[in-house]
Amino acid sequence: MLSLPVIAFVSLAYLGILFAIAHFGDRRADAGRSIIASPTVFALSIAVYCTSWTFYGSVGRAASSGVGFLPIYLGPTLTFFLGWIVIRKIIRISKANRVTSIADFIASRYGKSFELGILVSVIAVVGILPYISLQLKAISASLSILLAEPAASLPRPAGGGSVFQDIELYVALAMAAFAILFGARHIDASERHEGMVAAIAFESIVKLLAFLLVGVFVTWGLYDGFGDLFGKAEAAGSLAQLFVMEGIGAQTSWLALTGLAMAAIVVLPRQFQMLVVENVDERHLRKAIWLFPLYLLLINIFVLPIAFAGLLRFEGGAVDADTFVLTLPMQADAPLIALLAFIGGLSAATGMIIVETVALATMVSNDLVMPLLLRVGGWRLSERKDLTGMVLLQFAPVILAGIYWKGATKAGALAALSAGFAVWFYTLLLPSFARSGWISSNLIEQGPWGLGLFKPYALFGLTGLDPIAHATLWTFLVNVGFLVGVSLFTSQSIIEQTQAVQFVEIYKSTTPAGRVWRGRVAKAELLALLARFVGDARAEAAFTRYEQELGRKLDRTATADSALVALVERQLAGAIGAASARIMVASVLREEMQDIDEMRRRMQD
Amino acid sequence: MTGRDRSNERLVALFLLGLLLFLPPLLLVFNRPDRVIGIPALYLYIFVVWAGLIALSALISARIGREAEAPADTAAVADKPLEETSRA
Repeated sequence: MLSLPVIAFVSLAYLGILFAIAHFGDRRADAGRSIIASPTVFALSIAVYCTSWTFYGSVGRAASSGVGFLPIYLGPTLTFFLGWIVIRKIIRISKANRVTSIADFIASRYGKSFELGILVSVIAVVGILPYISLQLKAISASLSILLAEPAASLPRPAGGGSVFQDIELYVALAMAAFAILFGARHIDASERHEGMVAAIAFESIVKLLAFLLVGVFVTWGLYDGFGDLFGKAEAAGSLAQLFVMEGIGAQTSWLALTGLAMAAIVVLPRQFQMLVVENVDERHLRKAIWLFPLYLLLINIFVLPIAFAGLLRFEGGAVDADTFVLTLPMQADAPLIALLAFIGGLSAATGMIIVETVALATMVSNDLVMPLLLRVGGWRLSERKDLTGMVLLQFAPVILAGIYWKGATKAGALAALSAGFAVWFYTLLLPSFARSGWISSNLIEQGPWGLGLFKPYALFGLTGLDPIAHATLWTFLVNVGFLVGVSLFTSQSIIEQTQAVQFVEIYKSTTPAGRVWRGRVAKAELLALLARFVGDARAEAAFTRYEQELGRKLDRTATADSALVALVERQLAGAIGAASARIMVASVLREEMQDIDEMRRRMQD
Repeated sequence: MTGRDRSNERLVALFLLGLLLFLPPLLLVFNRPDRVIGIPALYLYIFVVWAGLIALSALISARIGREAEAPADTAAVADKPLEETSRA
């Protein structure tokens, strides 16, 4: 069948095209003729949502639970109908504040708090890293399938020989090179990565076409259309039970997954990056509210047919359902289609790795490393395995409250995220340790110290839900409860109030973001500060632009007015994040904002 | 009431309609083992509703586009990106 050199050549050629497109996109952006300034490219770039989990995993899930995979795509569809209202507001706010990541957004809303920026970044990294390694695993596993023969006796993907581990390493290196070339290239992180977006949009087309090709081949090549395929499945007896959702467990997980996916499409770091940070023009959303759901519908049409065809042709579970997309064409002796399917899976995996890496890197450098370098020392990120990204979804209440409820306070947001994190740890992560044998399984069966009320999979006696639905319910209850409860009984500092009003009333304000800074600093000093982070040329350009708008030359030695200070803070925020920018500006001003807060507190006493 | 508010109302209604149609109990009406035009009832129902909702969202989207293009409309001015309005 397919030999390693052929596959390697095609894969390298594909990655080469990807680099070429990204390079071309960046060149055109530098020339001021963007190729991504189109609503269609915007909608396609959001489809980075569909990873190799979609490409291979949906079929696997469909083979065991029928429609159980669909909430992952129905949820985002529903969210996008509200996108013109909610996501547009988030984009508008982010542009005004030059937000660089989801951590930056939350930190900025709650008083440019560096603690919140750190907390969000840590949660994001802990939740997402395992998924990136899963994508690499998917690539090497799919390759091992493609090389296996004879096709009829395909094994489940083994642990992988050394050659496949090498492949994982090579792919990881190629992705790292891509991320460095097209992701980290710009100093000003709020500037868009146009080449990357163009490449991701291209990948979205490739994975969709590849999946449709396999679907059409299976449905009309191996069978005689949908009716024939489903009819044979019905005749096979046991498969007909997949036609329906069985039991209350299936229904609660349907509900939980819909809710999780509705939030995921906005708060996953890669989605926030594409939707908000890389967005060229908020008007592009108008087309995306139907085009992106249409993409999701198209890429899911053939999931169930492929799953049933696989179950019919590989009886007795001889072949892992996650591999049907590859193994069906191979078994039918259509190596070309299998190869194209492999490229589709490769594009789904690489797209996710690239964007997620860039998003996490921005977040880690701006909201984790920078504030720590500036303020405190000694923080170590502990690495964890086998986690689920569900923990990220608790960003959603903090963001929604942040843009619609002025009363949400920093203390409330911190409490909500910390408590939600703790509950997630207890109801999902700790039991997974127990199941993998790291700690005693008594914890799951009898509860801690035999306290049945605190069993992690049945907290306070709540049973009948699957673990994900159970953890989701408790995490959200605790998260929202703390956010509302603590916010109602704490007060906001002045900077929190300013930010809250600005976020909630973004459509009312016509002046760009900014707050009156008290304190004195020479203009030249501000210019030097800006130049340290964005370079002399950019800093000078920003000042020149400001002078042009003002219509007169500035005296560089005189004291800067508050508008200029706010301008510099915004420019800095684009490069190093809102919380860090505030600290830097405060450091050159004689008087810090905290002093005003303190003064106000003293006056209130 | 401006056209923009109406579009937002329509989108919220579409969202609520989607929730209603995609979640139990309405979903369970079609949770039956029989097949309609050869396709399992539940699958057909979900995909038909999905396509219908997308079609409706495309209609609303087109309407927003026409309103934004209408000259001298207050809604259209508010629609401009922040920088343009502030610079003007």
